[in-house]
Amino acid sequence: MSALLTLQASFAAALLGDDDEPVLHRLRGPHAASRLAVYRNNVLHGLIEALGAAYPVLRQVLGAELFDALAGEYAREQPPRHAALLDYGAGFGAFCERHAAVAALGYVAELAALERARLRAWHAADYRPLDAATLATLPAAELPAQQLALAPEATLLACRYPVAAIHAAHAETPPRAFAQTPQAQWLLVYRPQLQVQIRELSPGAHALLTALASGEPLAAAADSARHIDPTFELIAEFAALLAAGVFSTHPTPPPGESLP
Amino acid sequence: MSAVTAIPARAGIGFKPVHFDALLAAPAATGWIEIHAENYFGAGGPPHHMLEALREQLPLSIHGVGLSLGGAEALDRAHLRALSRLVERYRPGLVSEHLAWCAHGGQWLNDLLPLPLNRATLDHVCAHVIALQDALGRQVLIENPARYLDFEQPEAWPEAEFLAELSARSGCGLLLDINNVVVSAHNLGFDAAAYIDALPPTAIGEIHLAGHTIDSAGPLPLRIDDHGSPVDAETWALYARLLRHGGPRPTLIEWDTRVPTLAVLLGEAACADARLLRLAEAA
Repeated sequence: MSALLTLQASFAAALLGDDDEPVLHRLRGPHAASRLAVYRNNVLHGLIEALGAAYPVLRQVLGAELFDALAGEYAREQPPRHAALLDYGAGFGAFCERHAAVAALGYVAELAALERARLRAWHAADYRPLDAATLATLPAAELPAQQLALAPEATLLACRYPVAAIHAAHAETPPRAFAQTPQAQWLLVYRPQLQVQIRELSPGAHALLTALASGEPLAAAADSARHIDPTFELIAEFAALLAAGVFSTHPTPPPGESLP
Repeated sequence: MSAVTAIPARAGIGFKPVHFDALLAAPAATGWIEIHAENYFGAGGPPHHMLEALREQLPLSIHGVGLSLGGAEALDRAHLRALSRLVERYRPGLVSEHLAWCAHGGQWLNDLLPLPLNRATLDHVCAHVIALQDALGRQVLIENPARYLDFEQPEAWPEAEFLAELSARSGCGLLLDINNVVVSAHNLGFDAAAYIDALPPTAIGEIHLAGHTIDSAGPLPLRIDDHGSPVDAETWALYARLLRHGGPRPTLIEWDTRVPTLAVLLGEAACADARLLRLAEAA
């Protein structure tokens, strides 16, 4: 192991943990611990800020003090794997729920998943939505076997709590009062142009899109929807999704392709 | 996408999305803009829409903050690919990175961490800079970091001499951050003016100016490079000294925390432009 590698290993361990001694021995001059602390603070402060930017509503819900404390714990335990912080903190919602008072709220992991989905959609590749005219060029007989790609980085969520309403309540200052009782909600988060959309779905539409997203053809996806809801109105629901630009004309690239 | 537009020897500003509308309405207010590469590693969306619109109007510089050129491990190939894609997409006038490390053992530490400056480190950083330049097919500028500590070691090199040697051996240019010199000189106890005089003027391709704070909470007052305030008088004086010594250079005003209005940022840039203009008139 090179001397530089050894030094950086102990420096990294000191910044993320508490064992300063191996590094302090290598530093010149007095006040070595205070000097090292500047780097530790920079690293932690930067990561706490990154998590705060990724989960702005969760930070409002928990309060800055609790959120920043949890973010600091998370950052030390699960630092980023690479320099693009665009996708840092995927497990943060679940991590927060280790805290009993946070878990008691019930909706925190689901709210975090919604904010995460918004961030993914924000940075997703631009795409050309599939429109009815393009779809109409396909022979009708081929439609049942047709696979359809969703918007790049689109996320489907099935929630126990009305997290879209909780999220919307925090778009106002001060936040609007919101119901904290369970009420199932099915959502699609995607970005048709420059604005991220949170679209509420019927349970059937959620099942339809989940099946399509996993590569199933339209006929099988429609069966999944009717399995969830026998009264699912395929034609009307599909037309509404098409009009909302939910499908892409291009095959969706593998998740995370754009990130190192 | 437009052809490469060279960065003029004028003042530029670090682009912040909050300034997008104001800047697009009056792009001539600044000579050029700089972005942090890693903020644009996503595939699309508003960040790239803004950058494409501005790139049509203004010369662009891409400044990397996370490649870990000083890391003892191999360069992150995925990071290098993402940076190459970004450079290919936007064809910036300048590309820069840091004399620092920020990754170890698959963990990324969100800061520009210090290196022991010695022969072995030079060999190592040199190889990484050459690999970066080969991957991008162009010269890069390497920036001096703000430092809060130094390592105990035999035959340590002064940083200015280290950078001069790095430039001579790798062919890289230098990005001189004068605020970082002021911060490091105070924290490590060296002479800022002598540092600047020791750099080879022809190697300097860009200058950074920013503000810092003083942390008096600990037993030792340290200057902290936080890019959150106006450029201080000492930094302006050293800037004037460098311009006399090395001639006009593209000069960036960095302001990354407590981001002010565009007008305040442009006011700082105007101060740099005034000094560049005076130099041109004197010539």
